[in-house]
Amino acid sequence: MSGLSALISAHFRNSYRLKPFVLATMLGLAVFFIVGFVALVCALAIVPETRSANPDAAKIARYLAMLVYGSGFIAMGLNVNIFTANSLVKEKAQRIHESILGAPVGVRKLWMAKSLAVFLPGLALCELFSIATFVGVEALVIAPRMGFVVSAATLLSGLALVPIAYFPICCIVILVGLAGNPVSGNVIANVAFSTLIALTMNLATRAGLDLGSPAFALANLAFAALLGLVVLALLPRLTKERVILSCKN
Amino acid sequence: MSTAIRLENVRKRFGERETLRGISLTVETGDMFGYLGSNGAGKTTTIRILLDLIRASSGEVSVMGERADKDAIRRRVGFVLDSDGLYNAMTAQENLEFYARIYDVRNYGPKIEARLEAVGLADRAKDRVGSFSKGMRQRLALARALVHDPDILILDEPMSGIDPSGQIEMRRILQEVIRQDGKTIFFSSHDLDEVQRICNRIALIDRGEIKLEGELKTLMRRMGGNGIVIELGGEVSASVEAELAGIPEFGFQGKEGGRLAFAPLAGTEVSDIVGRLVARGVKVEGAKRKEASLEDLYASILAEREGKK
Repeated sequence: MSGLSALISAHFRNSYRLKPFVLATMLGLAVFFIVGFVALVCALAIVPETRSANPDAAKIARYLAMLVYGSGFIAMGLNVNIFTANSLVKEKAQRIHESILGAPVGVRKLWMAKSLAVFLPGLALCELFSIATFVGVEALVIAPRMGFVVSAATLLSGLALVPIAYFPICCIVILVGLAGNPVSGNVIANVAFSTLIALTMNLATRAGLDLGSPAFALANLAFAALLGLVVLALLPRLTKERVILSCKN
Repeated sequence: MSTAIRLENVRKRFGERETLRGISLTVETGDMFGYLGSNGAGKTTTIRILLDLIRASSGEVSVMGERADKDAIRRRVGFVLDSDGLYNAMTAQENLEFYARIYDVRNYGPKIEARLEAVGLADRAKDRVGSFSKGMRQRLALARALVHDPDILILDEPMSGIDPSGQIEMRRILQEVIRQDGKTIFFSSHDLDEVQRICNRIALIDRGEIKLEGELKTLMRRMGGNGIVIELGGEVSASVEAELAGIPEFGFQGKEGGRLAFAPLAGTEVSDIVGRLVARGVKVEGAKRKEASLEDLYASILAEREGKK
């Protein structure tokens, strides 16, 4: 356990310490996209619904679930996209993994530590932005006209479902980055981010999918399980030798 | 004396290319073992196998009598690779703390201080490694290799890319480590001079094969053959040189500075040569068996390779 926490804290120090500009840019982008997304949905959907003669609380709760899920997803996705390949490429170039794996550290421990080191800051941002969106939209947009539309499922979609879907994505991205090319890992992160956000938002707006519903929660869990199976299938490729030989000389 | 490292008929194949072709070598506890070879000879592959970073395709590898892939063995081995693998954004002290935690070192604070002191970086402990010179980084890598007080130290070209003063400093630290701690050191290099200065035993690898292995002094003496060098206390006239050249049993090879070199035939004693010189009024200060330099050893291996082509 001490080795795992040492690996995670070293990753944090090496990835974030000298990058205040990148960090500020990432946070700025997250705020920009999330505020824009929330403002757009509020202006086009929630506010008109609350002003209607018979506001539909269930419909508003659906929109809110979409906002909470989307906010968490954007925050988490940006963190994985911006910081994963960047740090892995540098560590490979400096052959840091070779020195770590020469010590009593198994390759799977290194992989898990790196995956957690990418996932945990994303999780913190995801929770932060999900709660901020939930509280902000409830307090500023919904509550003044029709009281709180409180739904545990709505909050849960952002706080739990996004991290559940994203953890296996982090594991795949780091696995591919460690055993192969970190840029390929980043491509996976990019594709996962853009595809999933586009898919869920389209289904929510066009097909009326409720992101706070048990059905969506189940679908989300099934998706995470599927990714988990992909991780298991890829795991035999994660060997010390592959990690070492994939580092450029 | 026990065996620290043993490789038995180790082969390593990367696809079609065989990098190690059945190498065998033994390093005894307390040895300062030089592992010589040119670039691409297979030194780094051997070291990676010893550190369990890659697996041998066949053959046996043991470290301290155990299989090299055991965590307990990893804890008894320290290493410096050709690339230091240090975190640039972390300070020297943080880098060592990180490895101390990885190796489960208890109460590591004083040990880190001592190691930084030993490598002359105590005053730079709080500085980020990204600001260090190559020499300082290698010294820090050496401190890292020693932070868990290993029994064996494996060094892969630790002097490469360091300026001469840095090399002197590294050599001093290494010799200090050997003297104080009596560790077994496996030192890979293509620098013959460096190995000759530090090591007591060597192995020479060429194109994935061990060409020779043994006590450095013995090997050099053996390669020196039956050569004799006479140290002169004065000048030798041309007529005396001509006379020496005319005696086939002496195998006179020539004069170089204040020395005369001979490769006498069997049955000819040093005293015969010295007696003749003294009789001709030449002042002799000493005579010794000629030893080959490591460079000679290396050259003979290369010559053998060329001869096989």
